[in-house]
Amino acid sequence: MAETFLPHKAEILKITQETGSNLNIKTFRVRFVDEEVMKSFSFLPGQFMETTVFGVGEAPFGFASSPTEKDFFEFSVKETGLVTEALHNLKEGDLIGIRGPYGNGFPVEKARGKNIVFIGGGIGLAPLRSLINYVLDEQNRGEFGRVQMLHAFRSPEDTLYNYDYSFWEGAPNTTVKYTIDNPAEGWEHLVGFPHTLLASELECELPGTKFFTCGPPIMIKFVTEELRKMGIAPADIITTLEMKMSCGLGKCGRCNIGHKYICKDGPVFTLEELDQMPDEF
Amino acid sequence: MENNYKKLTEEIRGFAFELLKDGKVDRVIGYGKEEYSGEVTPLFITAPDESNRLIFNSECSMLLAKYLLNYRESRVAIVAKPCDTRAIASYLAENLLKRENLVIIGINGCPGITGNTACIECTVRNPVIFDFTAGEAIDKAELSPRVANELEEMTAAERLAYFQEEFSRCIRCYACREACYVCYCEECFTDSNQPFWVGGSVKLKDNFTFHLMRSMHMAGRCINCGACEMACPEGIDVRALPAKLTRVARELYNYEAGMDPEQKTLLTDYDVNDPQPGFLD
Amino acid sequence: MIKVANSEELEQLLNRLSQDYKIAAPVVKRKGRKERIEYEYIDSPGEITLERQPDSSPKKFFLPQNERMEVEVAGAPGTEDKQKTILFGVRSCDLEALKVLDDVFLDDNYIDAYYQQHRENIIIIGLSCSEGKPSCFCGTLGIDPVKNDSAPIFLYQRGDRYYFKVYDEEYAYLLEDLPEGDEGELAEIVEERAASFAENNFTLDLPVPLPEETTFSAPFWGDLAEKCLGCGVCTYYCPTCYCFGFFWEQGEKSRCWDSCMFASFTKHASGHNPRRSQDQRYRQRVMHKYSYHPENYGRLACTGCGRCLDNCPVNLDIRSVLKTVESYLQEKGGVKSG
Repeated sequence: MAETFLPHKAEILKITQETGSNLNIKTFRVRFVDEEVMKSFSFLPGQFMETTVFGVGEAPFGFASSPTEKDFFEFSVKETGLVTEALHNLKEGDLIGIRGPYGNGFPVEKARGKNIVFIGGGIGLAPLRSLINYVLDEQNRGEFGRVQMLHAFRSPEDTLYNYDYSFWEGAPNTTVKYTIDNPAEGWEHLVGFPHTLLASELECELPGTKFFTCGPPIMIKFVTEELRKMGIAPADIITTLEMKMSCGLGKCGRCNIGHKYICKDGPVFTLEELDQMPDEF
Repeated sequence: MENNYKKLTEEIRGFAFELLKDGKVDRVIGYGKEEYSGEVTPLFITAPDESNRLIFNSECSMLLAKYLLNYRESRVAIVAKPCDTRAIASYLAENLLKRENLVIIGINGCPGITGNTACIECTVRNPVIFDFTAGEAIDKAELSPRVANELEEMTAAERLAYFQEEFSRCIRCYACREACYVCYCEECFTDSNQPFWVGGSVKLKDNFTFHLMRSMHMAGRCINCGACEMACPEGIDVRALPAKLTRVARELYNYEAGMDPEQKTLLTDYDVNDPQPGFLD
Repeated sequence: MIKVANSEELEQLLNRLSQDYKIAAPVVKRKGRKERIEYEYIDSPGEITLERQPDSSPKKFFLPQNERMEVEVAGAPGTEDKQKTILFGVRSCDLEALKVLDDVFLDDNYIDAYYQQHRENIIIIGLSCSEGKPSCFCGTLGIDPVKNDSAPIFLYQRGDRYYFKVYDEEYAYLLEDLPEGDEGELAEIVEERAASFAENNFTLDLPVPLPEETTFSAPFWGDLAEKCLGCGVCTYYCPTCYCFGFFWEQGEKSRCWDSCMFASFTKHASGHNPRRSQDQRYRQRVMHKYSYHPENYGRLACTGCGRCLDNCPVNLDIRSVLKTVESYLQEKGGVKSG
C-alpha cells in the first residue's frame, strides 16, 4: 500500500507514572481503536512506532511491551520536549495517533538457544523490556539459555518497571542485578556505572552469549567498549540507537548515517555493524 | 581620491604576507576567487605563499566579520570593509571577541559593493577600527548618502501590500539570517518549539512572523550593511525593516551601532530622559 | 517519431492543449531586484521562455515545499487533482534529477502516495540544452544535455523551428495536429550541440560511490566547509535534495522541505546533535549525493545543474570540493569504490 504517513487512532488504556522526582517518565498502554487494525498489528522487540499527539506533533518511541501481549502495547516516555510534554498531559481514555512498526528489531532468532545478557540504562531499559518479557514469557522461556540482567539507574527514585521485577527475578535460570550512580540510603543493590560492574557482577564468559544493551549514548559507548575489551565478539554485542527518526521509512533524511538509515536499517545494530559506520551518532 | 582595486589588492596581499610570515596571526580571512566559476568567495589562508590568492573588488559582498566567531581563540587577521569593521566593533562591544587576537586590515574609502542597495545609504566609508588600512581614506564631506524613503512615503496599506508581495517569495532558506552578523544565537527562535514561535509552512503568515521577529531582534544592532539582502536568493527586500529600525535608533537616540568598540549597546544603555514614543501614551 | 512546428504552430498547439491540461513552463519573473526564470503555471504560451536554464528546478511540482497530508488519521483520501499538467521545457539535468526522486519515493519497498499522485498527473515535455552556463557540469557526470529519452516527448528548438522527438508513442496524441519532421535535420542539431558541449573542460575522475569510510574521515572537510554559512539555499534549489519534515497546523499534518544544512535537522529534543558542526553537515550533503545514494540506488544524486553554486550567498563551488576529494583519493591510491 502506498505510504501516507498518517497514523491510526489509538486509545490510551493506562498511564503508569514510572518516576517523577528526578526524571519524569510515564508508561502508556494503548490499543488501536479500529479492531481490524489491532488484530493485524504485530511488531518485534526493538522496533519503534511514530506517536502523534494530535495538533502538536510526532515523535518516535520504542515498544516497551512484549509482542506476546496481544490486547495492547506499551511505550515509555521521558518528558524532554514538545511532544513528550504533550503526551504527559494526556489522560487515560484520550486518543493519540500511532503508525508503525518501523525498523529492524532485535535479532531474536539469532539469540534463540543462546545465553543472554541484558544491560539497561535509564529509559534505555524500555526497548530491552520488550525483549526481556518476550524471552521470559512462559511460552518462550525454554528456547533461551541463561538470562542475566544488569540495570542501571541514576538513583533509587529513577528505577523503571518495578512491577516487573518479581516476575523477572522469579523466572527460571535468570539473575537480575540493579545499580545506581551514587550510594543512596536504603539502597541494597549495586552502586557504580554499569561498565565498571560487568566483569565482577556478570558471567560474561559463558560461551554463546548474546549481549543486549541500551541506554544513554555515553553508557552504550562505555559498555560496548568494555565488552569488546573482555574479548566478546562484536557480532554478539547488540545495541539500539536513538536518532531523530521522523518518517520511519528511510526517506526524510534525519537519521541517515553513512548509507544507512537508522529508522529502516536499524535502530538495532551489532557492534560489528557500528564499527563499519561513520561515527555520527 | 579614487582607490583602484588593483592597488587595494596589492596592499592587502602585502599585509597578509607579512603577518603570516612573521607568525603574528594563524590565519587571514579575506576574499578570493573560486577556481572554476571565477566568482568572489571568502578565502581563508594560513601560509604566506597563499597571500597572492587574496583579492579585493566591487563583488566582495560577503560580510566576513561573522566568520570571526568561529575563531574566537586563535589569532586572525581579517580583510574588513567599513561595514565589517562596524560588525567587529559591535562584537567587541558585546564581548564576543578578544581585540588582542585580531588584526584588522581595513578598507579605506570603500567604493561600495555592486548590487548592494545598502551602500547608497552608507555614511561610513572608512574603517571605524583597524590595525592596517588599504587604500586612501575618503573625506566624509564628499559623501552624499541617500536615505531610501520610498517606503516612508507609502500609505500603511501600500506598505503592507509591498511587504506581502516581498515576503510571499520567501522560501525560508534562512540565508539572510546566516549572512547577518547579528544572528549568532545558539538557537534561533525559528528552531524553538518550546515556546513555539513560527510554523514550518512558507505561508505568508509564517514568513511574516519570521521576518518581523528577526527584524525586532535587529533593533539597535543592525548596521545596515545589506548582507541579508545580498544573500537572499529570491531578491526579497529583507533589509527594509531592520534598516527602518536603524533609522529610528538614529533619530530618537542619536545611536548608531558598531561605531566604537567601547560604546554601550542601545538596549543596555537607558536614560530616564530617553524619548519613549508610543509607550504608555 | 518526430513532429515539427514553427512558433506560431507551437502557440496554437499549447493553446489547444491548455483546454484539457494545465500547462507549466519556464517564465520570466521579476523578483524585487532580481529577474528570474521559474517554472510556473501559465495563462498563455507567450509567457514561456526557453532562453536558459530556469533558476529553480521543477522539483516543487513533485515535492511541493509545503504539502498538506489532509487529515491526521490514516485511510483519509488524498485530493485527486483531476486535471493533468503538462510540464513544458524540462532539461536533462532536471529530468535526471527526477530519477533520483523516483528512486526514493517510488522505491520497491515503499511508494510515497503524494509523490506518486503528482508523478502520474504530470506529463513532461523535455527540452534540449543549446548551451551550458558557467556553473553547470552535467556532462562531467555522464549526463547528456542535448538529448534525453526519459521524458515521453523531448523538444529541440532552433530559431523558429521546434522539433518534438516522441519517445513514448502513448503521448503522440498530444502532438497529433503537427506534421511529421525529418530525422536528418534533428540529427544535425544533436551533432552540432554535442560538439559545442564537448568543450567542457571540467573533468572528474571519482570512484562512484565514493568510498564511504575513506572519504568520510578525510581531513579536508573542515577547510572545504569553512565558508559555508549553514543556510538552506543549496538544498532548496537542488533538483535532487528531497529531505523533508512534518509540521502541524490546526490539527492538520503537512510535509515541508527540510535541509541537512540546518543544525536543527538532526538535533534531538535532549539537545544532543549527531551533526553538531557545519563541516559535518556539509560533508553529509556531499556524501549523500556522491556516496550514500549511489550505494543504495546505483545513481549519483547530483546532476551538475549548478544551481547550488548560482544561489549560494558565498559562492561555494561543489566542483572545487569534488576536485579536492578526487586528488585526496588519488593520493590515497587504489581506493576501491563502495
